Amino acid sequence: MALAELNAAVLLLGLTAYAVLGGADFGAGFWDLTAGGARRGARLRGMVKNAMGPVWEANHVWLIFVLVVFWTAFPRAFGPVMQTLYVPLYLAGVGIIFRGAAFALRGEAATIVEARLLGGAFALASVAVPFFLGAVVGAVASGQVPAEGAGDAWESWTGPFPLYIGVLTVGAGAYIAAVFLAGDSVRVGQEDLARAFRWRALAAALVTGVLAIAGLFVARSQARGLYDGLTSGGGVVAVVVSALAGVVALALVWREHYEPARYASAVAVAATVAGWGLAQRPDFLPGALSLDEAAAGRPTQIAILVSMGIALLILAPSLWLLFRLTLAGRLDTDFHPIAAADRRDEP
Amino acid sequence: MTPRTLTLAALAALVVGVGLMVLFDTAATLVVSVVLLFAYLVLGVFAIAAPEHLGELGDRDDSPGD
Repeated sequence: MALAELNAAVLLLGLTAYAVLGGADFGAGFWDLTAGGARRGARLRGMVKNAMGPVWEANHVWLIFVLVVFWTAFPRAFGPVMQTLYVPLYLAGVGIIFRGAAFALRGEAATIVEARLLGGAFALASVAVPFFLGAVVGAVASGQVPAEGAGDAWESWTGPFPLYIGVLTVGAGAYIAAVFLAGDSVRVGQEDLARAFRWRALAAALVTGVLAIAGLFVARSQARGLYDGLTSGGGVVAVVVSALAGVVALALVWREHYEPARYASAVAVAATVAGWGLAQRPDFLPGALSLDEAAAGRPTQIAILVSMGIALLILAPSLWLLFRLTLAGRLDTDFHPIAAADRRDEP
Repeated sequence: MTPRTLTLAALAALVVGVGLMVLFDTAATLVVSVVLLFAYLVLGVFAIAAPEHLGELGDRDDSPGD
Protein backbone atom coordinates (compact mmCIF):
# COMPACT_ATOMS: atom_id res chain seq x y z
CA MET A 1 0.00 0.00 0.00
CA ALA A 2 1.41 3.41 -0.97
CA LEU A 3 2.07 6.09 1.62
CA ALA A 4 -0.77 8.24 0.32
CA GLU A 5 -3.18 5.33 0.68
CA LEU A 6 -1.98 4.67 4.22
CA ASN A 7 -2.59 8.29 5.15
CA ALA A 8 -5.98 8.17 3.42
CA ALA A 9 -6.81 5.12 5.55
CA VAL A 10 -5.78 7.06 8.68
CA LEU A 11 -7.99 9.94 7.53
CA LEU A 12 -10.98 7.64 6.98
CA LEU A 13 -10.36 6.03 10.37
CA GLY A 14 -10.54 9.42 12.04
CA LEU A 15 -13.62 10.29 10.02
CA THR A 16 -15.27 7.05 11.13
CA ALA A 17 -14.50 7.78 14.78
CA TYR A 18 -15.96 11.27 14.41
CA ALA A 19 -19.01 9.97 12.54
CA VAL A 20 -19.73 7.46 15.33
CA LEU A 21 -18.82 9.45 18.45
CA GLY A 22 -19.46 12.97 17.20
CA GLY A 23 -22.53 11.69 15.36
CA ALA A 24 -23.92 10.25 18.59
CA ASP A 25 -23.23 13.57 20.25
CA PHE A 26 -25.11 15.54 17.61
CA GLY A 27 -27.86 12.95 17.46
CA ALA A 28 -28.50 13.41 21.17
CA GLY A 29 -29.34 17.01 20.30
CA PHE A 30 -31.90 15.76 17.76
CA TRP A 31 -33.72 13.92 20.56
CA ASP A 32 -33.43 17.00 22.75
CA LEU A 33 -35.03 19.05 19.98
CA THR A 34 -37.89 16.59 19.53
CA ALA A 35 -38.40 15.76 23.23
CA GLY A 36 -41.56 17.81 23.53
CA GLY A 37 -42.52 20.60 25.93
CA ALA A 38 -40.58 21.64 29.02
CA ARG A 39 -42.37 19.32 31.42
CA ARG A 40 -42.79 16.32 29.15
CA GLY A 41 -39.25 16.46 27.76
CA ALA A 42 -37.49 17.25 31.06
CA ARG A 43 -36.39 13.72 31.92
CA LEU A 44 -35.33 12.89 28.38
CA ARG A 45 -33.27 16.09 28.21
CA GLY A 46 -31.81 15.26 31.60
CA MET A 47 -30.69 11.87 30.25
CA VAL A 48 -29.09 13.52 27.21
CA LYS A 49 -27.11 15.84 29.47
CA ASN A 50 -26.23 13.03 31.87
CA ALA A 51 -24.94 10.77 29.08
CA MET A 52 -23.05 13.43 27.16
CA GLY A 53 -21.45 15.15 30.14
CA PRO A 54 -18.29 13.06 30.57
CA VAL A 55 -17.52 12.46 26.89
CA TRP A 56 -18.79 15.30 24.69
CA GLU A 57 -15.48 17.15 24.48
CA ALA A 58 -13.51 13.96 23.82
CA ASN A 59 -15.91 13.04 21.01
CA HIS A 60 -14.85 16.14 19.09
CA VAL A 61 -11.12 15.40 19.33
CA TRP A 62 -11.66 13.39 16.17
CA LEU A 63 -12.65 16.45 14.18
CA ILE A 64 -9.30 18.02 15.02
CA PHE A 65 -7.58 14.75 14.16
CA VAL A 66 -9.30 14.65 10.76
CA LEU A 67 -8.50 18.29 9.96
CA VAL A 68 -4.81 17.92 10.94
CA VAL A 69 -4.32 14.78 8.83
CA PHE A 70 -6.27 16.33 5.96
CA TRP A 71 -4.32 19.58 5.68
CA THR A 72 -0.93 17.98 6.35
CA ALA A 73 -1.17 14.81 4.27
CA PHE A 74 -3.35 16.13 1.43
CA PRO A 75 -2.71 19.88 1.18
CA ARG A 76 -3.48 20.01 -2.56
CA ALA A 77 -7.00 18.82 -1.81
CA PHE A 78 -7.41 20.67 1.48
CA GLY A 79 -6.92 24.06 -0.21
CA PRO A 80 -9.59 23.58 -2.91
CA VAL A 81 -12.04 22.06 -0.42
CA MET A 82 -11.68 25.00 1.98
CA GLN A 83 -11.80 27.57 -0.84
CA THR A 84 -14.94 26.04 -2.30
CA LEU A 85 -16.87 24.83 0.74
CA TYR A 86 -16.08 27.57 3.24
CA VAL A 87 -19.73 28.54 3.67
CA PRO A 88 -21.04 25.21 5.07
CA LEU A 89 -17.77 24.66 6.96
CA TYR A 90 -18.05 28.12 8.52
CA LEU A 91 -21.68 27.48 9.45
CA ALA A 92 -20.72 24.10 10.95
CA GLY A 93 -17.90 25.76 12.90
CA VAL A 94 -20.22 28.44 14.27
CA GLY A 95 -22.75 25.74 15.15
CA ILE A 96 -20.11 23.72 17.04
CA ILE A 97 -19.15 26.79 19.09
CA PHE A 98 -22.76 27.74 19.92
CA ARG A 99 -23.65 24.16 20.69
CA GLY A 100 -20.70 23.62 23.04
CA ALA A 101 -21.28 26.91 24.82
CA ALA A 102 -25.01 26.23 25.19
CA PHE A 103 -24.37 22.71 26.52
CA ALA A 104 -21.79 23.88 29.04
CA LEU A 105 -23.94 26.77 30.30
CA ARG A 106 -27.29 25.03 30.16
CA GLY A 107 -27.42 23.93 33.76
CA GLU A 108 -26.45 27.41 34.95
CA ALA A 109 -29.36 29.34 33.43
CA ALA A 110 -30.69 31.88 35.88
CA THR A 111 -33.98 32.64 34.18
CA ILE A 112 -36.55 30.80 32.12
CA VAL A 113 -35.66 32.86 29.06
CA GLU A 114 -31.97 31.99 29.41
CA ALA A 115 -32.77 28.32 29.84
CA ARG A 116 -34.95 28.28 26.75
CA LEU A 117 -32.39 30.18 24.68
CA LEU A 118 -29.58 27.84 25.71
CA GLY A 119 -31.72 24.75 25.18
CA GLY A 120 -32.85 26.00 21.78
CA ALA A 121 -29.31 26.89 20.70
CA PHE A 122 -28.03 23.47 21.75
CA ALA A 123 -30.80 21.54 20.01
CA LEU A 124 -30.85 23.54 16.78
CA ALA A 125 -27.06 23.57 16.44
CA SER A 126 -27.04 19.80 17.05
CA VAL A 127 -29.13 19.35 13.91
CA ALA A 128 -27.50 22.11 11.84
CA VAL A 129 -23.86 21.01 12.34
CA PRO A 130 -24.21 17.43 11.03
CA PHE A 131 -26.39 18.75 8.21
CA PHE A 132 -23.67 21.15 7.02
CA LEU A 133 -20.86 18.62 7.55
CA GLY A 134 -22.88 16.04 5.62
CA ALA A 135 -23.41 18.56 2.83
CA VAL A 136 -19.63 19.08 2.67
CA VAL A 137 -19.08 15.32 2.33
CA GLY A 138 -21.81 15.15 -0.31
CA ALA A 139 -20.25 18.01 -2.26
CA VAL A 140 -16.80 16.39 -2.24
CA ALA A 141 -18.20 12.94 -3.11
CA SER A 142 -20.26 14.27 -6.02
CA GLY A 143 -17.30 16.05 -7.59
CA GLN A 144 -18.30 19.64 -6.85
CA VAL A 145 -14.79 20.73 -5.82
CA PRO A 146 -12.47 21.71 -8.69
CA ALA A 147 -8.76 20.91 -8.34
CA GLU A 148 -7.77 24.55 -8.81
CA GLY A 149 -10.07 25.58 -5.95
CA ALA A 150 -12.46 28.52 -5.72
CA GLY A 151 -15.47 26.54 -6.91
CA ASP A 152 -18.88 28.14 -6.55
CA ALA A 153 -19.32 28.96 -2.87
CA TRP A 154 -23.08 28.25 -2.93
CA GLU A 155 -23.89 25.96 -5.84
CA SER A 156 -21.16 23.50 -4.84
CA TRP A 157 -23.06 22.34 -1.73
CA THR A 158 -26.67 23.33 -2.37
CA GLY A 159 -27.26 20.73 -5.06
CA PRO A 160 -29.62 17.78 -4.46
CA PHE A 161 -26.95 15.24 -3.53
CA PRO A 162 -25.04 17.29 -0.91
CA LEU A 163 -28.31 18.37 0.72
CA TYR A 164 -29.56 14.79 0.72
CA ILE A 165 -26.37 13.59 2.41
CA GLY A 166 -26.83 16.39 4.95
CA VAL A 167 -30.28 15.11 5.91
CA LEU A 168 -29.05 11.51 5.92
CA THR A 169 -26.21 12.45 8.29
CA VAL A 170 -28.70 13.97 10.73
CA GLY A 171 -30.78 10.77 10.63
CA ALA A 172 -27.77 8.49 11.10
CA GLY A 173 -26.58 10.52 14.08
CA ALA A 174 -30.05 10.37 15.64
CA TYR A 175 -30.06 6.58 15.30
CA ILE A 176 -26.61 6.09 16.86
CA ALA A 177 -27.48 8.49 19.67
CA ALA A 178 -30.69 6.62 20.48
CA VAL A 179 -28.77 3.32 20.73
CA PHE A 180 -26.14 4.89 23.00
CA LEU A 181 -28.74 6.68 25.14
CA ALA A 182 -30.78 3.49 25.61
CA GLY A 183 -27.69 1.77 27.01
CA ASP A 184 -26.84 4.77 29.19
CA SER A 185 -30.41 4.88 30.54
CA VAL A 186 -30.19 1.23 31.63
CA ARG A 187 -26.89 1.95 33.34
CA VAL A 188 -28.34 4.74 35.48
CA GLY A 189 -31.47 2.75 36.29
CA GLN A 190 -33.94 4.72 34.17
CA GLU A 191 -35.74 1.78 32.59
CA ASP A 192 -38.62 3.82 31.15
CA LEU A 193 -36.15 6.13 29.42
CA ALA A 194 -34.31 3.07 28.09
CA ARG A 195 -37.59 1.86 26.57
CA ALA A 196 -38.28 5.28 25.08
CA PHE A 197 -34.82 5.44 23.50
CA ARG A 198 -35.15 1.84 22.33
CA TRP A 199 -38.26 2.77 20.36
CA ARG A 200 -36.55 5.85 19.04
CA ALA A 201 -33.53 3.77 17.95
CA LEU A 202 -35.71 1.24 16.15
CA ALA A 203 -37.70 4.00 14.48
CA ALA A 204 -34.64 6.01 13.49
CA ALA A 205 -32.97 2.85 12.10
CA LEU A 206 -35.94 2.09 9.85
CA VAL A 207 -36.48 5.69 8.78
CA THR A 208 -32.80 6.31 8.07
CA GLY A 209 -32.46 2.95 6.34
CA VAL A 210 -35.29 3.83 3.95
CA LEU A 211 -33.71 7.26 3.43
CA ALA A 212 -30.37 5.62 2.58
CA ILE A 213 -31.99 3.27 0.07
CA ALA A 214 -33.91 6.16 -1.52
CA GLY A 215 -30.58 8.01 -1.60
CA LEU A 216 -29.31 5.52 -4.16
CA PHE A 217 -31.82 7.02 -6.64
CA VAL A 218 -30.58 10.50 -5.84
CA ALA A 219 -26.96 9.34 -6.23
CA ARG A 220 -27.79 7.63 -9.52
CA SER A 221 -29.13 10.85 -10.99
CA GLN A 222 -26.83 13.37 -9.28
CA ALA A 223 -23.54 11.59 -8.50
CA ARG A 224 -23.20 8.85 -11.08
CA GLY A 225 -19.53 8.16 -10.42
CA LEU A 226 -20.16 7.56 -6.72
CA TYR A 227 -23.22 5.42 -7.50
CA ASP A 228 -21.17 3.25 -9.87
CA GLY A 229 -18.43 2.93 -7.26
CA LEU A 230 -20.90 1.92 -4.56
CA THR A 231 -22.56 -0.70 -6.73
CA SER A 232 -19.42 -2.47 -7.93
CA GLY A 233 -16.12 -3.88 -6.63
CA GLY A 234 -15.04 -3.03 -3.09
CA GLY A 235 -17.77 -0.40 -2.81
CA VAL A 236 -20.59 -2.89 -3.02
CA VAL A 237 -18.87 -5.16 -0.46
CA ALA A 238 -18.73 -2.22 1.96
CA VAL A 239 -22.41 -1.42 1.31
CA VAL A 240 -23.38 -5.04 2.01
CA VAL A 241 -21.28 -5.13 5.21
CA SER A 242 -22.86 -1.85 6.32
CA ALA A 243 -26.37 -3.17 5.66
CA LEU A 244 -25.66 -6.44 7.50
CA ALA A 245 -24.16 -4.61 10.48
CA GLY A 246 -27.19 -2.33 10.49
CA VAL A 247 -29.56 -5.30 10.59
CA VAL A 248 -27.53 -6.95 13.38
CA ALA A 249 -27.60 -3.69 15.35
CA LEU A 250 -31.34 -3.44 14.85
CA ALA A 251 -31.84 -7.00 16.12
CA LEU A 252 -29.64 -6.30 19.15
CA VAL A 253 -31.60 -3.16 19.98
CA TRP A 254 -34.86 -5.10 19.60
CA ARG A 255 -33.56 -7.68 22.10
CA GLU A 256 -32.34 -4.87 24.38
CA HIS A 257 -28.64 -5.79 24.10
CA TYR A 258 -27.52 -2.19 23.90
CA GLU A 259 -23.78 -2.60 24.49
CA PRO A 260 -23.14 -4.93 21.52
CA ALA A 261 -25.56 -2.77 19.52
CA ARG A 262 -23.18 0.17 20.00
CA TYR A 263 -20.39 -1.77 18.28
CA ALA A 264 -22.59 -3.13 15.50
CA SER A 265 -23.76 0.43 14.78
CA ALA A 266 -20.15 1.59 14.70
CA VAL A 267 -19.30 -1.16 12.21
CA ALA A 268 -22.19 -0.04 9.99
CA VAL A 269 -20.88 3.53 10.00
CA ALA A 270 -17.27 2.40 9.43
CA ALA A 271 -18.35 0.30 6.45
CA THR A 272 -20.25 3.27 4.99
CA VAL A 273 -17.21 5.54 5.29
CA ALA A 274 -14.97 2.82 3.83
CA GLY A 275 -17.45 2.37 0.98
CA TRP A 276 -17.24 6.07 0.17
CA GLY A 277 -13.44 5.85 0.07
CA LEU A 278 -13.47 2.72 -2.08
CA ALA A 279 -16.15 4.10 -4.42
CA GLN A 280 -14.13 7.15 -5.41
CA ARG A 281 -10.74 5.45 -5.37
CA PRO A 282 -8.21 6.37 -6.83
CA ASP A 283 -9.56 9.93 -6.77
CA PHE A 284 -9.48 12.22 -3.77
CA LEU A 285 -11.58 14.88 -5.46
CA PRO A 286 -13.66 12.89 -7.96
CA GLY A 287 -12.86 13.79 -11.55
CA ALA A 288 -10.42 16.47 -10.43
CA LEU A 289 -7.56 15.18 -8.28
CA SER A 290 -6.21 11.70 -7.61
CA LEU A 291 -5.01 10.52 -4.22
CA ASP A 292 -1.37 10.72 -5.33
CA GLU A 293 -1.82 14.19 -6.83
CA ALA A 294 -3.47 15.44 -3.63
CA ALA A 295 -0.80 14.01 -1.34
CA ALA A 296 2.06 15.92 0.26
CA GLY A 297 5.69 14.94 -0.40
CA ARG A 298 7.12 11.63 0.80
CA PRO A 299 8.97 13.06 3.86
CA THR A 300 5.77 14.74 5.03
CA GLN A 301 3.75 11.55 4.53
CA ILE A 302 6.25 9.55 6.60
CA ALA A 303 6.39 12.24 9.29
CA ILE A 304 2.59 12.22 9.58
CA LEU A 305 2.42 8.44 9.94
CA VAL A 306 5.14 8.47 12.62
CA SER A 307 3.57 11.36 14.54
CA MET A 308 0.10 9.80 14.27
CA GLY A 309 1.55 6.59 15.70
CA ILE A 310 3.01 8.53 18.63
CA ALA A 311 -0.22 10.51 19.06
CA LEU A 312 -2.28 7.32 19.14
CA LEU A 313 0.04 5.91 21.83
CA ILE A 314 -1.11 8.78 24.03
CA LEU A 315 -4.65 9.21 22.74
CA ALA A 316 -5.77 5.58 22.55
CA PRO A 317 -5.11 4.64 26.22
CA SER A 318 -6.61 7.94 27.38
CA LEU A 319 -9.80 7.42 25.39
CA TRP A 320 -9.95 3.75 26.36
CA LEU A 321 -9.77 4.74 30.04
CA LEU A 322 -12.38 7.49 29.58
CA PHE A 323 -14.88 5.22 27.83
CA ARG A 324 -14.19 2.33 30.23
CA LEU A 325 -14.91 4.56 33.21
CA THR A 326 -17.97 5.99 31.46
CA LEU A 327 -19.43 2.63 30.49
CA ALA A 328 -18.74 1.28 33.98
CA GLY A 329 -20.77 4.19 35.37
CA ARG A 330 -17.80 5.57 37.35
CA LEU A 331 -18.27 9.06 35.90
CA ASP A 332 -22.05 9.16 36.22
CA THR A 333 -23.57 12.04 38.13
CA ASP A 334 -26.96 11.97 39.84
CA PHE A 335 -29.67 11.91 37.22
CA HIS A 336 -32.15 14.72 37.30
CA PRO A 337 -34.45 16.20 34.67
CA ILE A 338 -33.65 19.50 32.99
CA ALA A 339 -36.65 21.44 34.16
CA ALA A 340 -35.32 24.99 34.41
CA ALA A 341 -37.60 26.11 31.59
CA ASP A 342 -40.50 24.67 33.51
CA ARG A 343 -40.29 26.93 36.58
CA ARG A 344 -43.02 29.20 35.26
CA ASP A 345 -45.50 26.35 35.77
CA GLU A 346 -44.49 25.73 39.37
CA PRO A 347 -46.75 27.02 42.14
CA MET B 1 -52.33 12.51 14.84
CA THR B 2 -52.67 8.74 14.79
CA PRO B 3 -49.65 6.56 13.96
CA ARG B 4 -51.34 5.67 10.67
CA THR B 5 -51.69 9.33 9.72
CA LEU B 6 -48.10 10.00 10.77
CA THR B 7 -46.88 7.07 8.68
CA LEU B 8 -48.77 8.24 5.60
CA ALA B 9 -47.55 11.79 6.08
CA ALA B 10 -43.96 10.57 6.51
CA LEU B 11 -44.10 8.43 3.37
CA ALA B 12 -45.68 11.26 1.40
CA ALA B 13 -42.94 13.63 2.58
CA LEU B 14 -40.26 11.12 1.53
CA VAL B 15 -41.72 10.43 -1.91
CA VAL B 16 -42.44 14.07 -2.73
CA GLY B 17 -39.10 15.20 -1.22
CA VAL B 18 -37.03 12.72 -3.23
CA GLY B 19 -39.15 13.34 -6.33
CA LEU B 20 -38.65 17.10 -6.16
CA MET B 21 -34.94 16.63 -5.56
CA VAL B 22 -34.39 14.28 -8.49
CA LEU B 23 -36.83 15.71 -11.04
CA PHE B 24 -36.37 19.46 -10.60
CA ASP B 25 -33.36 21.69 -10.26
CA THR B 26 -34.48 25.01 -8.87
CA ALA B 27 -33.70 26.68 -5.56
CA ALA B 28 -37.35 26.62 -4.49
CA THR B 29 -37.80 22.88 -5.10
CA LEU B 30 -34.52 22.14 -3.32
CA VAL B 31 -35.56 24.09 -0.23
CA VAL B 32 -38.97 22.40 -0.21
CA SER B 33 -37.41 18.96 -0.70
CA VAL B 34 -34.95 19.43 2.20
CA VAL B 35 -37.79 20.58 4.47
CA LEU B 36 -39.84 17.55 3.38
CA LEU B 37 -36.95 15.18 4.05
CA PHE B 38 -36.50 16.60 7.55
CA ALA B 39 -40.26 16.27 8.00
CA TYR B 40 -39.96 12.65 6.89
CA LEU B 41 -37.26 12.01 9.52
CA VAL B 42 -39.28 13.45 12.37
CA LEU B 43 -42.71 12.15 11.30
CA GLY B 44 -41.29 8.72 10.46
CA VAL B 45 -39.57 8.35 13.81
CA PHE B 46 -42.65 9.33 15.77
CA ALA B 47 -44.91 7.20 13.59
CA ILE B 48 -42.94 4.14 14.67
CA ALA B 49 -41.93 5.27 18.16
CA ALA B 50 -45.62 5.60 18.97
CA PRO B 51 -46.82 8.08 21.61
CA GLU B 52 -47.95 5.32 23.97
CA HIS B 53 -44.28 4.40 24.43
CA LEU B 54 -43.13 7.98 24.77
CA GLY B 55 -45.90 9.75 26.64
CA GLU B 56 -45.13 8.29 30.05
CA LEU B 57 -41.84 10.13 30.48
CA GLY B 58 -43.18 13.21 32.21
CA ASP B 59 -44.75 11.33 35.09
CA ARG B 60 -41.72 10.56 37.24
CA ASP B 61 -39.82 13.21 39.11
CA ASP B 62 -36.17 12.41 39.79
CA SER B 63 -35.17 15.98 40.43
CA PRO B 64 -33.37 16.64 43.69
CA GLY B 65 -35.88 19.34 44.41
CA ASP B 66 -33.67 22.39 44.06
